[in-house]
Amino acid sequence: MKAPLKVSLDEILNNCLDRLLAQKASLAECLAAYPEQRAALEPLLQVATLTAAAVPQDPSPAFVSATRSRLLTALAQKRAARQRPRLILRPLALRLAAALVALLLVLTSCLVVSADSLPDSPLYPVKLAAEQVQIWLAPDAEARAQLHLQFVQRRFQEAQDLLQQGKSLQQPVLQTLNNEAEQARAEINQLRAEQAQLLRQRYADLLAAQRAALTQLQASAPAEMQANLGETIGILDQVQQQVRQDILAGGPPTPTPSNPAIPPSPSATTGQPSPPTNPPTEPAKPTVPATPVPVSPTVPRPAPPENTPTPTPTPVPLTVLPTATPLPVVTPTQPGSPLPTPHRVPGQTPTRPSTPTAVPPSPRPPTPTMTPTPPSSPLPSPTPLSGNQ
Amino acid sequence: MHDDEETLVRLAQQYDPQAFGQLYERYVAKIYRYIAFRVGGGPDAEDLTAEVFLKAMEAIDSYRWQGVPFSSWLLRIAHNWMVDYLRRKKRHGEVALEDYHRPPDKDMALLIDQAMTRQEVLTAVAKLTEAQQQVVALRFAAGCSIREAAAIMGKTEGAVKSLQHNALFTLRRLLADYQRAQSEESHESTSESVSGRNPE
Repeated sequence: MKAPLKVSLDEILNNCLDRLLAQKASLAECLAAYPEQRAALEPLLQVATLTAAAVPQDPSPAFVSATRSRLLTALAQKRAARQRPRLILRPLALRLAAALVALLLVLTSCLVVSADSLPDSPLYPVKLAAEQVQIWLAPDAEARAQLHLQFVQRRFQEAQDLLQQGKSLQQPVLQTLNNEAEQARAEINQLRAEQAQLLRQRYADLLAAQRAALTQLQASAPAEMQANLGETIGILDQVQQQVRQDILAGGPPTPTPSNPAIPPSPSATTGQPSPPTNPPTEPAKPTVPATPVPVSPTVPRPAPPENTPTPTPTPVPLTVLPTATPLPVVTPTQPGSPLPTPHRVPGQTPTRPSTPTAVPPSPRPPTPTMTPTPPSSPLPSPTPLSGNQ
Repeated sequence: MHDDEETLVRLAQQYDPQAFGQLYERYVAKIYRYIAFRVGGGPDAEDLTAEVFLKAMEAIDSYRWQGVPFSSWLLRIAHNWMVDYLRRKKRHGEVALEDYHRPPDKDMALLIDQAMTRQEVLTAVAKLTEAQQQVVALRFAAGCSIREAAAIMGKTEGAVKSLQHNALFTLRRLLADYQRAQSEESHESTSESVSGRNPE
């Protein structure tokens, strides 16, 4: 019963206060309006009147004026500060741009410095990463293949540089070299026939030049480096052999498995230097085969590079069995041959099928071995290259 | 000169000095009275009032017009500043519950007749609970309606009316106690002076 009364008194008191504070009614008028609540209301309204009378007067005009000036000054500063962020942003943008330029400079410097780095350098991974990016950014397969050729050359050059500095080639270095050589070959094999042949020829020339350089290095290298050099040359020979095969076949006869992880070179086992295919003073000339050589009587394929002085290209029917392709090799008596290949790598044993122990003579004239032969008769070769078929 | 408060506030948010000056002129007395009622006036009230407007100017970007008077926002800032100030000054007083429920005295009219000073009323107000002080200050000093007071305090109108009732009830008792104590002191001093004049 008390609660409703209290709520009611709250309401009545509030109404009276509204009228009193707004000076719309006097205390007596309020009490007269609620005679039943007079006893409860009167003391409360008296206190309310007392409280209202105790409210301080308005602030002095001096204070109001001084504070207004102070506020407007602060407001002007704040307004100026609001415009300042644009000015602050500009240096901020400049700083950001400077930081970006610095970052680009650092990255560029890293790339430039890493370009000359060798596998034992901490920047070498940067170099490899940059190459990988180049591969990714290459517009087509041909560009990728050309890049891979470039990188193969680099890998061999790095190996030579390390060896020249008297440093041994660790397994990861040889593995990288091997992988790069394989990737280049695989990339070339995915191209159209003419493009592929062109790049294979370049690849072969490149390998020949590297072979010559390594052989020269091997001749003067101390004994402890011979094993490393032999391994490197072994890899090179193997790739060279495969590329040569591809050239003859106009493409890989069958998908060639990756080289076994850095097969130990026969040279490495014996420590004997392999004879150079080309003398270092006479680098191989990239030659585009001028004479199309049909691989089979029905399917004409580009022939191996022709070095004959005959002005008119003469198709030389050449039958190459896709399953057993003996590799014709240019003899060393023909400098400038497009396929400079060692006759024989000393120390290579026939127990390793993937590594040819000897290279067949050149398929080109003047020997009668290049004459068309029945498909069933392989070209004469000392050792059939069964490992890559 | 803009009469529309919303427009004034929007202009003030763009640091328009005229608009902000107009808002200041409109509400400075209200804010000052509210603060002075709680802190007793003087330089402290003036300083706090100036601080409230400076604070409002700093934070005006964050103000969102919601249809309630701009003064409600200013009074909330004032309240927060004042609570900090009072806490620092340790001038916050609480009323004991047993005192709160004591029956009212009969001679309230006498209190008025004896013309209690303004300071005595303010001292009594300072002994109310914080919520009671706030509602009394909002209603009597700032002249807020019960609706505005409810919005500022974040309570319902019914709750604020009840709080207002209780505040006046307690204030009446506190003032009566004060008056009684004054009377007793006066009586004792009179007795002492009489006994001093007629020593045994």
